[in-house]
Amino acid sequence: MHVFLAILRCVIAIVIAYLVVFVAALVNILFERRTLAFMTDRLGPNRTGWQGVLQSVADAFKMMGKEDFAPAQVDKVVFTLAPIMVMIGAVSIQLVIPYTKGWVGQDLNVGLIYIIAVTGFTVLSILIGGWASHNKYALVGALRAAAQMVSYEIPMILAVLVVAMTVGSLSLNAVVALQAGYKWLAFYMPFTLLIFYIASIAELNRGPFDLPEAESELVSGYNVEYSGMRFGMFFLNEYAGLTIMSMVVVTLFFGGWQGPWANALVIHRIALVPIVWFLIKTYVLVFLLVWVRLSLPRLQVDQLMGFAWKILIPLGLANIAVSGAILLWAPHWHLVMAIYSWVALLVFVGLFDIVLRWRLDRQRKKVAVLA
Amino acid sequence: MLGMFKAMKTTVGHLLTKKVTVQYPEQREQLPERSRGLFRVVIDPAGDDPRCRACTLCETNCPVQVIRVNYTSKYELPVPNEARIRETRLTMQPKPDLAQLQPVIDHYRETGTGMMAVLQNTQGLYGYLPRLALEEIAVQTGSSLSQLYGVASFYNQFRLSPVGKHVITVCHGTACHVAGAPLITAAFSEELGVGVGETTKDRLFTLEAVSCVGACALAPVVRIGEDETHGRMTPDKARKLVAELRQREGVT
Amino acid sequence: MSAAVDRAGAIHEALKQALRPEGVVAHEGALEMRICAGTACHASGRVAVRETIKEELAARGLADKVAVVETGCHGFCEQGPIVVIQPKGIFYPHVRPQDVAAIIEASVQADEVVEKLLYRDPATGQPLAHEAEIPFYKEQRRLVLSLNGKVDPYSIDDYLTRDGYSALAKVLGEDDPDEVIDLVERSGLRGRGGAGFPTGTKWRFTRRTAGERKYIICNADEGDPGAFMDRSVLEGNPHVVMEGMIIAAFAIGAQEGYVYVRAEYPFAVERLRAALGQARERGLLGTDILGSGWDFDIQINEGAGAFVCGEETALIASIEGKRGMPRTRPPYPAVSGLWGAPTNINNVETYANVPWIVHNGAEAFAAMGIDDSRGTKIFSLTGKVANGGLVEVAMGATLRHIIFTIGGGMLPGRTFKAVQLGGPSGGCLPAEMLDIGIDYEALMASGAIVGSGGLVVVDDTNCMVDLARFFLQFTQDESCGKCVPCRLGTKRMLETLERITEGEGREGDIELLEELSQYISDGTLCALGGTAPNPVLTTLRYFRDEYEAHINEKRCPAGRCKALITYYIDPETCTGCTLCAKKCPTGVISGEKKQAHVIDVSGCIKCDTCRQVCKFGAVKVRSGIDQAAAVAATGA
Repeated sequence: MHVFLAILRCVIAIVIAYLVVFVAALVNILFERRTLAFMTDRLGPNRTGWQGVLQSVADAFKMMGKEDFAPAQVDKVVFTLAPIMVMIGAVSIQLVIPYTKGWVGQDLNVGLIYIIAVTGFTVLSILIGGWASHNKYALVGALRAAAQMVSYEIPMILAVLVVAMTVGSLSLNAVVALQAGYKWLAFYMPFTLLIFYIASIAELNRGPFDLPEAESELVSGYNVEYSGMRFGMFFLNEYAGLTIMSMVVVTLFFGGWQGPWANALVIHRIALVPIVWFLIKTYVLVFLLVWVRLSLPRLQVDQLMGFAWKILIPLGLANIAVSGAILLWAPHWHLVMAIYSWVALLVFVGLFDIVLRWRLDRQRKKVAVLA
Repeated sequence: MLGMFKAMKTTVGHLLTKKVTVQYPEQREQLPERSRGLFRVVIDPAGDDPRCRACTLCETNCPVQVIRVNYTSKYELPVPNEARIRETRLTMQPKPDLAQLQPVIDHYRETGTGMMAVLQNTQGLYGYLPRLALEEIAVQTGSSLSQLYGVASFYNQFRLSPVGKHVITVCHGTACHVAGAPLITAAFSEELGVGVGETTKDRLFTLEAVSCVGACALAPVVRIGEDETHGRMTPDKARKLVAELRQREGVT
Repeated sequence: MSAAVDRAGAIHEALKQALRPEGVVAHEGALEMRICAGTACHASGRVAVRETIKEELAARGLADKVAVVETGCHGFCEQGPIVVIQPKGIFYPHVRPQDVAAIIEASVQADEVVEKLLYRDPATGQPLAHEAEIPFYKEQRRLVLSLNGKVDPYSIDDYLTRDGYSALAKVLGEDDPDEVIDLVERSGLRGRGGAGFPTGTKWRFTRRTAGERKYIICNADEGDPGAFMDRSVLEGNPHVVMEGMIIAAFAIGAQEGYVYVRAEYPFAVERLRAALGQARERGLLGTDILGSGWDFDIQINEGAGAFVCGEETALIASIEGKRGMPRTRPPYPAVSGLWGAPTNINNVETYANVPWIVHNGAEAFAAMGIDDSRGTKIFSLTGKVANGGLVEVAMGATLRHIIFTIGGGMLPGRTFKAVQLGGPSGGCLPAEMLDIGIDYEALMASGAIVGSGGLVVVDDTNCMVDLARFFLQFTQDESCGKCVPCRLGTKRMLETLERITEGEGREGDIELLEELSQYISDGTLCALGGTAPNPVLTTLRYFRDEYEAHINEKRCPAGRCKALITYYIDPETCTGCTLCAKKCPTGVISGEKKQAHVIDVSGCIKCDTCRQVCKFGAVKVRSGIDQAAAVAATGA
């Protein structure tokens, strides 16, 4: 009986996970299109269904109706495998994310590391997708994407390490528990949040870091040979990732499901109100992602890699060192950590422009001397 | 970083501004006053009283002359605006005899000379390139009308509107310019009352300026038609020449 | 070996057969009256002269003893209509129908000359009877123009009796195309159309490119205003050009040739067409040329009035029936040209040099000229010179020699200011540069170019800024519009120059012009745009003071730019004949009979009529807009 229940629970969990991913993807697509439209003085799709809610569904049907086409010389197994594999990351992360009090797939005690590890699946499937396409541009795009994602995983890990040090555990439930009573880590270590957030935008191939999939670069990158539902899979994964990554950020820095009236509605030991808070917080962050994507120009590939290796990683390492020192030796670590992190954030934001401008002037002077 | 924040502030500022989308077909765009569309003249809607009275005002005033009013009247009334219609139809192209064009097109098909030769021969036949002739060429040779217009409008030699009986060409080559060609052109222009490239109202004279006719030793040079070349012109001689030509035609 | 000798012999025999002695019009040593039938002489009224000559000869019963030959352009165009009596070579310029009787009596029936009708040397004032004595002809080295003025262009036999087409026979007989290319390379012949690219090298590239179909094009779209060399060669002796083309076609292996003549040259087209027909008849063109087994034919394509079609890729586009817009090079026409096939394009004059080189050898050609510029070049000398016309000299001749010795110096009463070389792509050189020898490299260093050979002499009544504006107006008008630097850059330069000539020049305009010139010449797709700034750059280099006068002092030193000059009547010289007042189109001249007249400057449109009609030279131009002073000067 227990075994049966356990298996049933697994199946339900998997179904929910996939449902969340797909629904989130569809919702995100519409959400993004509408938000981008509103911010650019347009209305966005508002005809299909009430205010356009069925637009994504219509797009999905369209994509499913397309011819399932694979070019003649592709590596057939891998070509089919890549889009199937790509969702694994998004789905698997949900295993450890607590949606509400008492409801988490499996409270792994290495939850944080698990999250980082599983995002690697996306990298892998992009790589093999680009390789299998038998197209040099797709391959170059895939390699670039992989390089980007791998490079930005490091600052992610560095930021997560700080969180882990603060919490003292790698379990996500512990992270959420620490943030009870509005003691959100976002208030105490905004600098770490910034590093993690920037790294996560790059992991998602979103916003200013969307070089691998930009239409004007490399003829649409790694998914150039994919069409119809195969492309649909990559596409949906990307948008699902928005939600999933925002969920991770919310869990780590914004208190997860915490919010007022947490115990108001409880069914079968699952509180329903915190889910609402969780979703609200997640979607605020999704909005932020969409907003950033609209406003900022794309980074060039050398700027992208340079930013990761020369700026984010050293800062992440310094951050770990200082945070670790504070956690070890500072009395009232909350206060000291907050002061340090806010100061670090302000200094970083302020100095960023100045340092870049100084470097540019120096370079220009060097060139002018040569000329 | 600060610049990025500024960018983000700008975009989010637009989140709640008025949107420019026009929800067609419930709403329609307000067209500007001078926008063009396809006009249809409502002559006789299924009602008792036909709206069009054949006053021909539309034909007279159409700047591109694409309206023709044809009507018959049971009364012997004079055509309204007759003089104005005649004047505006003056710049209209007379119907060319397309039978003459056929040998030109046949020659092109047989010898495969370039399209330029076809256009040059057509101009040789009619004095200019009538639109109907160009349409015929387009249909028969399989090139598009726009391509023909592209070639015709590129070269100075091709004329797309009829010319006067006498084409007065003033040479504006270097030697002629140095010898004072602009003054001569100005004199002609004043005397004839038209600008360069234009034809007089009585369709007798067209004034043109070309770059060099190759008779530089006789600068400044004026050529009438294809044959008559006058060298060592002065503005005074120019005026006399116009008077002479007018006399030849019996006009003052 | 003997088969080759036989073949050569057969070809020469075929050439001999092509000649029909009864078709020869101009005989050496016979008594003939040669009338120049070039465009300029035609415009001066040679038809009337010809008719009168025919009538007079018939009236005197000399119609069958004296031949009347209408030849091509003699080159001395300012002196038309020209009649030369052979065999002595007695030269009569400016012949009018009423002079014909006297000329025939004196020089044809008797052995005398009509002295008052002869040409007068402007330097000595002495009459010169014989063509060979006239400095204009004597100082020239006529290679390409050697038969101009001696043969009737409508008679192929005239050309054949003078060794015509024997170069072709020689080349076909030897049957070695590479040898021909070597010969042309060794001679140092460079493209005469303006760029000066070594012809032999171009032929070699075209020959080397693989391809079954190859084409030869002759660029007779002489667009440079002020240039008429190619026209005269085509009108005077089209066969020499055709022979050059056929030899070139043989050397590179072409099967079809095109001559792209501009439509503004009706005589050239007519004569060329007749010449082609005749050549085909005699087996010199078409299938199995002279029995060699090789086919080649030539077609005429007429231009339609676009200067840019003188540029090789635009020309190719025009022949293909498209808009004449250049395309990027490489690939050069030698690799991919007309219809994508390897094409060789050369200028008329370049081809015309080829038969001479084949006859006389590469060394003889290379013996003329200096440095890397060998052989001769035809220049069309026009402007304010005494003897304008076509001048063929060896490369290396100085400008001073051409303008002052051959050209006879300036028109009476004018001072030399500058000479404009190479049309709208070239530059103006001042008096200090007159001793430069004509040489592609030397001229480029001085800022001008040899170009197609137009030489316009400009005197002190011509404004250099206005001249630069004129050229830029031409280039702007003719710009095809494909590339932004030319389309917009020349327009902006033109606007700036127009502002300057209208008195609205600003501080910084000169620097603007220089900067724009740099961008335009760097960025354009073809040489039209690339060389468009040259007139501006050279006038800025050598005549900067004029620009500064226009901009800073708002006056035109040469008295040309209408907005910057004032017309006034000198009260001392004016006799009050009222002629100017009658002719003034705006009626701003007032005055009583026998009283000094006055121009009302406010209404004056500066049409120059008054100055031209005044017989006393009382109407003068002052540079600078000075209404008050002008009014004060006339005492009104």
